[in-house]
Amino acid sequence: MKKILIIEDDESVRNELKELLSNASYEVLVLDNYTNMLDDIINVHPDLILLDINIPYMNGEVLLRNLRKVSNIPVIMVTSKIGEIDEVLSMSYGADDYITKPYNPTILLLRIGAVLKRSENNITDVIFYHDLSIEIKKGIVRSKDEEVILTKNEMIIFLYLYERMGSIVSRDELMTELWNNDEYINDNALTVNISRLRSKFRELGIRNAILTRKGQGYILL
Amino acid sequence: MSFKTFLEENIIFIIFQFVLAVIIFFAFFLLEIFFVFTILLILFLLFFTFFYLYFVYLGKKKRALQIIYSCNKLEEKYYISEMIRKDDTIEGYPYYYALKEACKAMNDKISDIEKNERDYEEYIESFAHEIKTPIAALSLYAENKKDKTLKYEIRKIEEYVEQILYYARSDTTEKDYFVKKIKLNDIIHPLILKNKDILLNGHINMNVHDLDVYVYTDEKWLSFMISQVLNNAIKYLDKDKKTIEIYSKIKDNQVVLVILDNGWGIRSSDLPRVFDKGFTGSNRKKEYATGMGLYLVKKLSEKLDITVLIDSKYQEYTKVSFVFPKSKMHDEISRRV
Repeated sequence: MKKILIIEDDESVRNELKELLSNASYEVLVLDNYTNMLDDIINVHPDLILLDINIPYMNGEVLLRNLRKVSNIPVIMVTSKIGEIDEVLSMSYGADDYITKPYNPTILLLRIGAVLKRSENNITDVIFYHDLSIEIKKGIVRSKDEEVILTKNEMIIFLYLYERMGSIVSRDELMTELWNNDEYINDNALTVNISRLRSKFRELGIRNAILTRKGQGYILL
Repeated sequence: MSFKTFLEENIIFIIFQFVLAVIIFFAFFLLEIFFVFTILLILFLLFFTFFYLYFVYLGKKKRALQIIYSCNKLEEKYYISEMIRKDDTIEGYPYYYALKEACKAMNDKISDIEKNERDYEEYIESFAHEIKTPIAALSLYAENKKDKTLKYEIRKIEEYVEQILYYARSDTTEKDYFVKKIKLNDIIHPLILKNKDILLNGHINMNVHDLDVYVYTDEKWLSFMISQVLNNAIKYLDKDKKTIEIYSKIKDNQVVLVILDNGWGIRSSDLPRVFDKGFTGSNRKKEYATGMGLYLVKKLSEKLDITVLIDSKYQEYTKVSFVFPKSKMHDEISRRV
């Protein structure tokens, strides 16, 4: 589980952020002692830091600059100012991304996901599911003696379910993932895509690939 | 200011001169002084009076024209008292004094008002920044509680706060203007995501294409302007099959971003007024309309050199186009950057 450290001095925001990120299955750490931040950060060694620019004792940008001297932990800066200059400054101090308050929770989660993915940098071309091999870029799913082609939407849905295999994924999450990939489809289209995906896997011999959990979402087995 | 009025002003002096001439005539006549000499003297006297008056007139006219000229030249007329020479003459001084005092009082008043306005603006700005933290807390809370109504209402609060912030800034925006190269999709995409819930719940079909185009502009402002237009589009959709189409095209070497919806539309009689401050349409749902959105779009777009065009057919569609400035100048900027 990825560890995310929140450095934010507003208590309500901090608590809600914590809940949001926990729900999105991240391990969340909170820094509420602002006197020795740099050491604390190094000690807990998070995978990503959400850093508010207005924190007590030390400005967030200063902290970031100091942190960059000793560590490359990905940092997303959070601020309520909307000047471009702040953004440029933060990025030049080594922030990996920058988001302004009031952030949209969906967008925040997407940004976090994107930064983490970038820092992982392990984009594989071929994945395996049961006895099938899937070439992501070409959109081809192969069994021993057959192959089918997935559309872009079907591939996005499949990959999202695949990364969370065995746990429930809500329709809303799938929708967000699709929209995040510039596929602004509606509710019906999602249903259609899922059922097409199911029938394609059935063709390849996997009967119950995607299960429906009523009122909760889907689960890939 | 003609010579005639000047003569009228000096009528008593002129009459006096004539009376003097008559007195001299009779006195010399009684004293039996040589007649021709008397006539010459009187002619000389009248001649002298005339030329004296004429030269005085020319001098005064020159000064008067100078003042008028420097006043016309001034952009801020209330600095005129600094521009004119001190006038110590008995008729000039009171005006000079009054003008001096009036300008001073006016300048004081103006700087007072400017200071108030700056304070007000700073207050609005800090208010908008401060309120963002509680809004952020609320929107996270709504997300965690999966409360759609709350989410929706918070979106509206957010929009109003943005509007007031840009309104307060719209007169002094030069200072946070930052032109850079941006892909249109990088602005449109987050805006659509932000409105995902509203779009999905409203069963609105998004048709988004051809946005991998670069423009040179200020990202935050453009994003604000587009979101105003997008909010309007969403707000006034009324058909069974609701569609918003967003795309760009190149026309005459210029990038044009188009946002087209098949909603309520705008009456042709309302079209010329949609950019007016406070205009909310003659028969739209007045709900949530502040009449500020498009006004701000117009105002900000002018500063960014973007032309915003609205075309609409009542009850059929509304089409808003952002025409970005030609890229020649921008290429230079990008080379420098």
